[in-house]
Amino acid sequence: MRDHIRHCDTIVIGSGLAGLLAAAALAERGARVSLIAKGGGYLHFTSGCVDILGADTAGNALDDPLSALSALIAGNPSHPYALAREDALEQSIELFRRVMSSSDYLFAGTLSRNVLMPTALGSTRVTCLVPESMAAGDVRDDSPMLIVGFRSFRDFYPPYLAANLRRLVPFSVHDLYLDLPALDGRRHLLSMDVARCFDDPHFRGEVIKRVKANLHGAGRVGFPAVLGLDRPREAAAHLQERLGLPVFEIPTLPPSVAGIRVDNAFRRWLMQRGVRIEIGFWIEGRIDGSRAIEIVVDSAGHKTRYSADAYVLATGGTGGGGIKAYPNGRLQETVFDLPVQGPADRTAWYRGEFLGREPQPISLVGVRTNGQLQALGADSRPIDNVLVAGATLPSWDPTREKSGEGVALATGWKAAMGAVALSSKLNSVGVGK
Amino acid sequence: MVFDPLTPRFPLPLRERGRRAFESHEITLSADACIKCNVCQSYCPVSNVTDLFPGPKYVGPQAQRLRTGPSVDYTVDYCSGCTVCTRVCPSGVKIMELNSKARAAMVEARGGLSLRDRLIARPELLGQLSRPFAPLVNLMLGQRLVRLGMQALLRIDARAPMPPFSNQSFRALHRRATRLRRSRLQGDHTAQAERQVAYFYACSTDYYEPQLGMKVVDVMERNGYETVLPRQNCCGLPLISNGDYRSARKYAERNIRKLLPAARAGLPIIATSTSCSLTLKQYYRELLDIRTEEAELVARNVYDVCEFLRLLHDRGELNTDFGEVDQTVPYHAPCQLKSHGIGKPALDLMELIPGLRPLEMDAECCGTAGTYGYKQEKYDIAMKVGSSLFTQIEQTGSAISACDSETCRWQIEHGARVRSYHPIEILLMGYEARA
Repeated sequence: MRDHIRHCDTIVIGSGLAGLLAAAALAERGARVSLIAKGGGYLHFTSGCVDILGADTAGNALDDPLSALSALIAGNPSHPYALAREDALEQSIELFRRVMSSSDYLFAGTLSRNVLMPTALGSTRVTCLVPESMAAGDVRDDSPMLIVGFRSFRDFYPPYLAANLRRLVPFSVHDLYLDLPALDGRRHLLSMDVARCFDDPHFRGEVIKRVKANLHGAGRVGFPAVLGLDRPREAAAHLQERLGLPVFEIPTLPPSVAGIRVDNAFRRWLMQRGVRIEIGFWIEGRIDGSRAIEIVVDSAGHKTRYSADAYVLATGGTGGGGIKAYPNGRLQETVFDLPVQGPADRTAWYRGEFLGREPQPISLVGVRTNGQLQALGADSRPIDNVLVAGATLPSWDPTREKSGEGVALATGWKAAMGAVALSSKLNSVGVGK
Repeated sequence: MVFDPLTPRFPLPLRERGRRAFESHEITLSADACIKCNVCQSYCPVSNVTDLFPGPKYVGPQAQRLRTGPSVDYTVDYCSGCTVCTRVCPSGVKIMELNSKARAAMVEARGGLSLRDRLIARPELLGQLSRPFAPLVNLMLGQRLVRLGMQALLRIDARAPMPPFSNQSFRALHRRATRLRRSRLQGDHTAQAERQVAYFYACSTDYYEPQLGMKVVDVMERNGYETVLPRQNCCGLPLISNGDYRSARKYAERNIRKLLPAARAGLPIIATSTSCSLTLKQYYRELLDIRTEEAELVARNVYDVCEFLRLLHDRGELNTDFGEVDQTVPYHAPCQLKSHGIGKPALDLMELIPGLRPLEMDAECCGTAGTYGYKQEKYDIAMKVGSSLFTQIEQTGSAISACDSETCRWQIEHGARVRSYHPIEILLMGYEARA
């Protein structure tokens, strides 16, 4: 009974943006996809915006990420963007928008223009595509702001945010704390708790009433990103219409509702297309020569083995669990034990100023691939059916470049296309490219 | 990729004794891996609908560091044990298991379970007592006044769904059917099935749904397997989830003894109740700390019935002679099934039936969580947890639905007012549509 293997067209390992996008691209082409991951995915910790490229190598903010991309590609041919190319980015963004709009969640912006958004700390950050509910927050527009928070929601402080933001912008920024009976006296509230309240029109009515009485001449009103969990468009439209002003959301500390909405939209879309999502288990993969032959899920009682025509490895980097960094300096890829490109010695993980301009060597580690994103094995020969995407790839630093989502999407797309080419079923019926 | 929170601190290889010591603390030690990312909080179906439960992060890894003496947090009792927190944790923290152990410690400190919990945690005892008088008991349980009395006396919610007891046990039905079949087959040895499976049918099949058991026998027969029934008793999960580990351990040890011969003979032990089979596969070792070779052998041989059939399919041995069934079937994968780590075998099988459209519902939990939804103080929470699932099922417009776990099926029928079948019953519909 033990020697059996389940076969799928493709197995995507990892539940972050790269894995979700790859699974979506494959499902759209008719592949039988299993998405397997250890945990619920990093989207819950993200702003829910799509960074494409926010800064050049010198750290200067970029206005037009798409045109800056060619310079980046020319200057760093091993950068994931250089492997995926612009068209993978554009196609992946189109698919991303399709998936999001299927949950009635729309994104504003274009790839040729960055926006500058306020953060929950009152600093600003460059990003590219933002949910419609955030669009009115761009600090380069000079309409005065009112920042609204809720006293019993302790993860968002309007006075602090406003005080910091005032130092950076020419327009006025007022802040307002609301004490709402529906929230006060409850247990410690997290962002999702407040977001659920905003799905309720009566609760919104109460908020509208109190904000209207304290507008301070604002031209737009900012809230923490908790304006609805299941029906955010309805919530934002309601507030906007009744306040008579543009309303915008500001991403919060984790759990980030804006990120959760993206995750939920992907999960729904994938389940409707028969993609099997399995979260919660350690996975071990086996490679024989130039091919991965199976993955073993650490299931209850006995192991469960799967094989596939192709495997998309999107398990994240040192932060996401795809690469483990040991105290003795060893860097280990956690599923297939693929070689990791990075410093041989632990003392070389960091240099200079921790948050300085130069990327830290440890942030650049990853699994080396060829131009098709096929993982390179011990002898630098490609593992044909293991395609690497997202933060598992080396030679990029999402925090300094502000390119996290863009790279995840573009390489997720490119890896999926590689997997389509390897799928015997998809090729025999002539779908895919 | 093996979880190993000790590596960073003790890179030396651990001796066998150390490994053993570590294993029996694997749950409590896992709390150290928590990075407070809150993913468990955003998924927890209970804390998302009630303020009475602060959520898995708070009562799990966060409270764990303070648990050196008496209980620090009684709200842990509101954990329904659905397991989603453990599954979504990217750091490998065994959150639900931490909560379960904390509750057990609390119950022990209190001197044991309340009368209500002692009763509802023993479905086997309830079944044995009720079967001889099943028609009368069912009649009484159908009376609102009786239920209100139970609610007042025992705090068992009067609205919670109570399935009727069967007056025949599955064992007895099976014995009679086997005798019949044997006499029919007398002299015709070629028709005798060569292969056997042992069936862990569990309390619900024996006391409430013996017909489901007979359908399993039928499906197995259509695949060339004879179903034999090893001696067995309640798996003990209701006791585990109510916090009485001591009594649960007795059930567990008896079961291991009874199932061992089948496991030694290499018989697959199939099960229709996904939570009971998870208990055999995992909780005996992980929660009750029974780490004998015998227990491991039994655990290795246990298969969810759909997992087993899918395995036959993977080897090209499944009878796929299904007729067309033109039907949409909303399917809910129970929490404990998801914790098996075997994917969704019921979906994989139902997809083989021509015309059938199984639809996976996007819901973490139906709410009832075994005995949780029967408790007066928790019934409303259970219904709120399930409401999203009920709405999704209703929206499909289908008159039937499918789910592997019996208490979830009863909750779905109660909340969504749609008949809920075990996937095996759906498969049998497929086979019968052929005839």
